[in-house]
Amino acid sequence: MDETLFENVVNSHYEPLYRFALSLARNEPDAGDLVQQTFCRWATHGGQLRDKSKVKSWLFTTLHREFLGQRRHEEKFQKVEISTEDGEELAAESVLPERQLDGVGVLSALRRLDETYRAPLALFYLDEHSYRDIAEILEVPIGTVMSRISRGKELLRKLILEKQA
Amino acid sequence: MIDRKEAKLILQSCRPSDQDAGDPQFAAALALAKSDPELEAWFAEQQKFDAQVRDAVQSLPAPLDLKAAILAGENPPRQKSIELPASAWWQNLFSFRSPISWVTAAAVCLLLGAVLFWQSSIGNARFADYSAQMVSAAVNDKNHVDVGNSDMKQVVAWLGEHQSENKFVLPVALNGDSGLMGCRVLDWHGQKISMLCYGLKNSGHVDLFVADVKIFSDAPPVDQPQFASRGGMPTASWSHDGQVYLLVGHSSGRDLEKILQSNTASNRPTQAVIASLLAELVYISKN
Repeated sequence: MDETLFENVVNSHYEPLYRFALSLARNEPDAGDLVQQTFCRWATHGGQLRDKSKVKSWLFTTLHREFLGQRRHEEKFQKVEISTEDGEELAAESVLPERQLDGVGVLSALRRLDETYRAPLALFYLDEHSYRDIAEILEVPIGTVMSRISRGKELLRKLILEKQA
Repeated sequence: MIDRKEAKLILQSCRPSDQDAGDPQFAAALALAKSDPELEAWFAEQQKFDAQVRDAVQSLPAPLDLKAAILAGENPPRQKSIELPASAWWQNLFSFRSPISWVTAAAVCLLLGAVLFWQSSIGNARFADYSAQMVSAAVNDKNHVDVGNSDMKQVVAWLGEHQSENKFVLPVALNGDSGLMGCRVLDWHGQKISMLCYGLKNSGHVDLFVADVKIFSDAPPVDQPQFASRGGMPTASWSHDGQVYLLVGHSSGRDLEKILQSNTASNRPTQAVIASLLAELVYISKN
């Protein structure tokens, strides 16, 4: 792959990719590994992508698949799910956090969420993709993305408020 | 026609940016919110929360060396799921016929040499080189801090989580939350350096770097601040209890002197006065 092209792609996408990886992985080194692995794949397979407007989605999809692949090999880590009951009505009155949120605090709350909600929420807040793209990256229907974001946001809000209480 | 409950479910997924503004699936819910004051207020609050979380997520910095590592084509050092071919996997690692393998081998040797050189240089690093690097970091506007936070306890905890120096003995003027703006962890010759960033009412913007004294062959004297100017920036440096402190000012050297004499009525700081002030330093630890 052309070096300049590769560098341009890295410059444009490595930071949002790292933030996405950070929300999925348990720590910074794992997140960095995921990003490096994604660009390794881009260096070897990116040339096969015909539609260059899809580079960003390709990178995020690849990173997500890398993460899921690694997860499958880590069966020793038990999954802990925080969930609300099905059909529970959304809070009529929302409460905002009292203090300004910082990245580390939000990240720690995000990481406490189940993976089902974490990935769509991270993509939602990164604000880099349309819903259609998010659905493609996560390989689930748009309706599923929206419902996971809706429920995930409520859980995230609870965790943030609990932490600030 | 959708009802309020359905509209809430849809609007929860509508981002505060322009990303979803033109998306037709939000049109009906947005229209209902405009005609329903209660729903409108609820939606405004949702948007405010989303904007706060978005800004927090987007403020997370990438590691300083990540881009360089990607561009250098380094493979992740901590890969967990490497799919190995079923047979003769070692043949794929090195091929005598492939020039790429030889180049890779040479690069690995160079890298190992560099690592050994760095390790041997620990304890021999010149403080002047360190100061120059830290002054460069101090003037870096982009990614100036990793975390913007004015709570010293949280900053100390964050630095500890990142395996960086977090047991400080700080001058009184820099202790506590007053003026603290955030922190950063820098990597210098493989050593973690903690940086605390302050916006002080009387002394302006200053950055304090804390490093392990063992890194240096010529660390500054214990409790005797040395004032200097590096790259046009005033600095003060001293050692205390196994750590080296480098204070970098963004205005005048006089401001640094004021910080180090902040508890005295004396107008003219002397080494002795400053030394006695440093004796009043406050110990902060994570626990």
